[in-house]
Amino acid sequence: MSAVTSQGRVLVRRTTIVLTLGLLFLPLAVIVLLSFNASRYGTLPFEFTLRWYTELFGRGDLFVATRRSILLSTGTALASALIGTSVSVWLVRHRPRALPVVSAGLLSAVTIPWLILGIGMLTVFQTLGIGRSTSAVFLGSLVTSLPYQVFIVLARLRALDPSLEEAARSLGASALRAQARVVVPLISSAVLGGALMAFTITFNNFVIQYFLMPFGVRTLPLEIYTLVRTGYKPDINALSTLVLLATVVLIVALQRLVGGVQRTVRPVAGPRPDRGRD
Amino acid sequence: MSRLSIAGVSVRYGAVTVIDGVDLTVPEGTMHALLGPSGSGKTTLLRAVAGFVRPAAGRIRIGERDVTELDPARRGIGVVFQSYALFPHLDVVGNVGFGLEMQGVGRDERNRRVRDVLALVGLTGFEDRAVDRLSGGQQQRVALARALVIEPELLLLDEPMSALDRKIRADVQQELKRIHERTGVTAVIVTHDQEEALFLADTITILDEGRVRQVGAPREVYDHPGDPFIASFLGRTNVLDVEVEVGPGAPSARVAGGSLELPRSARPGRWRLSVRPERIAVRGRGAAGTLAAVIRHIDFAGPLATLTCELEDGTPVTVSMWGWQSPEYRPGMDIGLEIAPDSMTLYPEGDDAAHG
Repeated sequence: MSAVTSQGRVLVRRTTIVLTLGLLFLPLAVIVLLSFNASRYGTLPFEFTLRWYTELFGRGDLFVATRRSILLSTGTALASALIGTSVSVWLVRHRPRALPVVSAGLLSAVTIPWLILGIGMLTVFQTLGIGRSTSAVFLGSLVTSLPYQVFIVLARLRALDPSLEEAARSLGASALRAQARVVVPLISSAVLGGALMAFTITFNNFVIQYFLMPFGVRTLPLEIYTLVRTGYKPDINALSTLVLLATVVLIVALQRLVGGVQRTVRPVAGPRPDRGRD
Repeated sequence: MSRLSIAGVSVRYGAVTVIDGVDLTVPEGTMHALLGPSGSGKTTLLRAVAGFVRPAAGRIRIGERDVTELDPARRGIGVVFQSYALFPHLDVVGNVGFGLEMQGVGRDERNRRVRDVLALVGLTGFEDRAVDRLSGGQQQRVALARALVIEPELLLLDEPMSALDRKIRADVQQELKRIHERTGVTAVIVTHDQEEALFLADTITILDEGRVRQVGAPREVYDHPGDPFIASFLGRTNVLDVEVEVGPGAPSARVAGGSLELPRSARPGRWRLSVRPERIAVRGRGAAGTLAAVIRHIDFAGPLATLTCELEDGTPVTVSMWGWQSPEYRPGMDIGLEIAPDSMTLYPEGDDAAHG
């Protein structure tokens, strides 16, 4: 009897997973498929073509928008890596008591809807005289991606045995050299993972860009939005497929970097050292 | 000549005084144990010597140099951490050679010295192994090799055995003693394990609440603990409250169940008498010079057995004997306990055995 119910439970669980993933991936699959379909209106039968891709590559405006998005995302990722890592190191080293407060603050920055954040920032930037501008978008992107960067790096830093640095110091390394030879290598994958995360978030952040970009200057999400509003054409499918491909590459890289925590950071000694110094 | 000398060192964390005016000297080539319960300040004292915490007062000298204000990197120390703190991104050679690399030692000499020290700790053949693919005992040897290869003036070990299981720990203690004898390096080991301290150290400092309670050779502190706290911390002991009478013969004390002959040095008054379980002999009931007692429990633990006895007034007395001797005895048996005067230590009544 209980075997039957547990089997039933497994079935329910599996169906749920399959349905959820299906709901996520089916539209994506349709887009990829249609990007290679000759029909302009997405009708069957399927007939293979690369026409939409060639048409896409002929459109200068999309390229400009894509380049703008990549620039913005890369800039945000770099700034986020630099600032996020410094903040994390500072928090762990000098202000452990401020940690819970800052964590709560960062967490709320993650949970507050970007829509509200966007409107709020627009108001503030306008009073400050920055208004809608590239720097406004950059700041907005940084604010939305920094918490993720800090969380990822902070988690890695806190998992590091503080004795590692002391060990390097006792072996003759200066404070700076101990950082460079021991701490940096051990947190580098987390820093990079956070930066990739910042890149992805910024690249996809339609809401912030919608509110803060100067009128007429469009990033890729804004460009796509405009295109869809004026009339849906299959070259959008081709574009979406390319963005999807880039995202998949990023996700794989992210998983390698951040998912590798266990392998690189697990304390070497079996039991955890007793943190209470006596 | 002393390799390490600590004079009047205090360490404070905010308003809390963790180390309170500690003086200590460690002669060249010896191993010194800092022993104490958790919270006694032993690790903090070691960290002050290493330079990881700055003392609020006092001076620390290594050899002829005053290192109190010196950077840890320049103190000429090797440290074995409780967690070992091996660098997880480096292999065995990378870990062990790290200190030499920091000193700017060339690759060839570095390789030679790393090879030699790995041979010393018995890790030849593990050069390219990732450190997280080593057993706890092997990791501990890597940590020791890493600290020794830079030929430190002073080796500091912070509870190096606490992560090892009991059987391996005994082997590693033997090994550490052998390596210490081979290298002749002056060493300070922090431990809360009294047997480890007694086994490894040439001298022991017993710390409690940031103060030195007693310093001495292992036999000295074990046989003549300075107060009942030390007696009960360093192994087990029995404490009896006695009234000492000094008559024409040897001093003696009346205890429930009989009279005890005391050391000649005993003075009249109320005293606390401490005697270790293994110094009490079990005789037949009524034998001359014994205290009448009853056996309550017998706990057999392999080589040793522990008898929990009771004097006539209910005072518990613990006696230990060889395990093979214990089948002669049964709970409920009437026996006599013999305590030789030279096995006793007397303390003034105010001393508190339960302290700490």
